[in-house]
Amino acid sequence: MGSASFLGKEASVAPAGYNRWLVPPAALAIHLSIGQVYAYSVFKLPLTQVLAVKGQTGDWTQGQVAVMFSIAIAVLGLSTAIFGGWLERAGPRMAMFVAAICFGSGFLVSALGVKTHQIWLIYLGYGVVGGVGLGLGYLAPVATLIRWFPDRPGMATGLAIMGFGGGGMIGSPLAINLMQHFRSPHSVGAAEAMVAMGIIYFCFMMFGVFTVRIPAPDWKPAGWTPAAKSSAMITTGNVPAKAAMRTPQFYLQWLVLCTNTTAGIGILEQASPMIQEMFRGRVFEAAAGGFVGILSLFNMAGRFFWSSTSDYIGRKATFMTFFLLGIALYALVPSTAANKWDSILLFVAMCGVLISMYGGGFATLPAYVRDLFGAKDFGPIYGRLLTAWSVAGVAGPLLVNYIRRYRIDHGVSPADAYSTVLYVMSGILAIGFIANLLIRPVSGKAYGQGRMSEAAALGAGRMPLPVDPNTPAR
Amino acid sequence: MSDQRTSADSDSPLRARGTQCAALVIAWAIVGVPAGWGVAQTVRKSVPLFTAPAASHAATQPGASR
Repeated sequence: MGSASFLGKEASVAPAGYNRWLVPPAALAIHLSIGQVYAYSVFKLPLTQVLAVKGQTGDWTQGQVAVMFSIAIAVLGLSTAIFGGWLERAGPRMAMFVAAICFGSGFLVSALGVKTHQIWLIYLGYGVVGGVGLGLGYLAPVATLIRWFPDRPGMATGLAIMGFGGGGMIGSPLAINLMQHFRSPHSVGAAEAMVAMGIIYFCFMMFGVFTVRIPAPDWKPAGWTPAAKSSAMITTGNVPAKAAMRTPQFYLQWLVLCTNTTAGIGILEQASPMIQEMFRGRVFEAAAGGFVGILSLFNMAGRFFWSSTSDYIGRKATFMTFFLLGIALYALVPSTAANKWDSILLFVAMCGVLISMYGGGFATLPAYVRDLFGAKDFGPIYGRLLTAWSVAGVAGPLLVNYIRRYRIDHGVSPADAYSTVLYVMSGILAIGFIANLLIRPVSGKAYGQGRMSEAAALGAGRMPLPVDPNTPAR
Repeated sequence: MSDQRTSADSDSPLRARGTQCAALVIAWAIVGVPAGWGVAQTVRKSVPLFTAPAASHAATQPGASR
């Protein structure tokens, strides 16, 4: 009972004088942990050798192992859509606690799957159970930070989502070191490493659970007053989640996220082989690994840089930059190849900027959603939008591999086949550009009974303070 | 007695501020240290991109200035 109340929404309301800068570390503890999903590939090779080290046959293929990642990302998007409303009711502390339980136990179930060599247990553990942890862990800190930093929502959510980008940088060397530590003549060390990681991540995420607070209903930053007249693209009202689903803005934002993510995955998915093919004989495996590392840094930094920039230039303008600059860079990257400009530095710089905008898209979207629909039903609306990520996460790699294979089968060299992929990504961004261009403020009708003042929405409570529902959103 | 109470009252906001400052430092260190370790590992891994290509390129094109 005591623990249940501690995890409850009321118990996590911050006392007067609480420093809001304690909340980003809580959010980072969760996002740095669940960002491990970006480093899942370090398990790929060891998991294909589980039986071989014992002198047995029947090992899994890399393709079979890769499914665990696809399931995890798909479940991430689904669980944010399904549990977004519950999160608003239960509060972030409870949601983060459930996320820690799911993410940690997902590793333990997967470890059992490795030990017993049952791949379905890995799919269930890392994919389904861990995927729910990913979804709740992704959404809860973002939904909390957006209420603590109404004056700088882009920067605040960018900070947390930067952690998700950086999680792979911790997860990869951590898993490698643990597997090396536990490796024996009869074990690749993967199961033991998964047990250790499950425990480590659970403890680390619990720091976030204990630290997170939500602002009191009437709280606002010292010296800050919601602008009476601000940008036309920033509402001072709140659109209910159900009404938001009936607006074209919701679907346009969905398309914006889906296209931006698909294009980014176009590079991320093929980064290592792409640089080796485009600069054949000059870039080998170790250097290609370095390229992947550079992209991770740009991915992480872009999340903070672009979302913070969006606080000054606006969300729509930020996404316009992503799409226009992205279209140009994707079209130019093939020209940096060895048979044209022959510049590795230019290739790396362009890809870095592209990946920074891929990460920046994730980090800027929460504030874009809040701008258009308000803060009250942010969780369920943003959660449903994240299904675009699931679609892009599955469709993106399929599209890239299909186009590349198709071109190679038709006699095109591997390096030139990548060029085609990049031109297609440029076209996909053009679709995103049009979708973003069409986004307008939500009409007054969508607010219905859910419209209330910004000040009331910023707090933890859901106290309706109705204003004229016919007043159009600004 | 009254002086003592005044001193205690004026100390408590200072103490609270100090506690909160310490909490901030500890909280940021808890997430900053592993994040910094991850970034350092990634930077270390990235070094071959700027060393290996140059070496291999120089090997294939002797005398090339690039």
